[in-house]
Amino acid sequence: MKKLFLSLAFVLMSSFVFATTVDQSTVSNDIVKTVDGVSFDSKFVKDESFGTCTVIVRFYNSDGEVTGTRIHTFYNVATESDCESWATAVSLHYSIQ
Amino acid sequence: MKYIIFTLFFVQATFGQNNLEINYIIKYNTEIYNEKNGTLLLDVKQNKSIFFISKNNVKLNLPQESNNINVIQKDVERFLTTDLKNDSLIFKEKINNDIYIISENVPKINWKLDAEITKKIDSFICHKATANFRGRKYTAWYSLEYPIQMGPWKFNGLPGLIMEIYDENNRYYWGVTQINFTKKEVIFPNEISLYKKIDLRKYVELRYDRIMDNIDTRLPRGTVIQTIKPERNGIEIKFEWED
Repeated sequence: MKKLFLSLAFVLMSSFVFATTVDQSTVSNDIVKTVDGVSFDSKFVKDESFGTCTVIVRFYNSDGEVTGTRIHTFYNVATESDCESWATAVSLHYSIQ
Repeated sequence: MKYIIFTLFFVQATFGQNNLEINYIIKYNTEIYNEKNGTLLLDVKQNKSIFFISKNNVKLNLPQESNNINVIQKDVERFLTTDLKNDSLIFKEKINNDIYIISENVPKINWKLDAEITKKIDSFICHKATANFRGRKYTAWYSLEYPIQMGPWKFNGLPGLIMEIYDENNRYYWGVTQINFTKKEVIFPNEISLYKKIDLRKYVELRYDRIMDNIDTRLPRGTVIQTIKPERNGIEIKFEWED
């Protein structure tokens, strides 16, 4: 339930943000292949019940050259499954740009 | 002298009526391998050329084992025009959401000719030349059967048509696939006026320094975002003013 709520909140926020962006045609809508790159790492957090979720997005130009990498870190994520939800939300965020 | 006479004869006899269309296969062995088609059209009368680069769907070549979220910019058909008479080169390029027309002078490439080293490409005897150009070391194989200075992409200045050219890491490759004489008029794109015009310095700034600036970072409160820009990794990595 929490996972669902997180995803929905994020999607809603993304749609507000991107309602104002210009020319959304440059990023393919179906380019997000996997979200396997999500890692769940709680080793730096004292409270064992919370973890840190890292989602990595890599950007390429049309010549296949990497133009940048963006690392998104979410703190206080309870489970690996929640982390995957963040990853899904992040991928959605960029796929609708 | 013999070469000049041959060249004049060739231009008069062969190109007198015709323009030339040369097709290339372009292979970019970049982080995501991709291939494109290039077409070099030569307007012999005006001493101008245009090089069209086809669109390519890079995402089809994304390795299946890739385990990150990958965002790939959609391609557009691009072109470069080289005007030797007016020392002008312009090209169309897309950076993030925007398409630009970038202008510069025709680059002067300092070729080292190793004419005695030859190899056969199809039925053509090709001669070797090497050059450093904008941070990469290229090997070109050119044919004197077509005494044409203009080549694919920004390459120019060799005594014959470039049949094959690649950089020392084989990251970028262009190779001739077909040569045709054509009576068709070479039409230069009139879409230039549709896009923002910038010079090469501005292009370099947008391509390498500010490319991640326009990608939205507004994510939910509490998200910590770190953006990493790679070392310069495009075809051109070092420019004349940076020497």
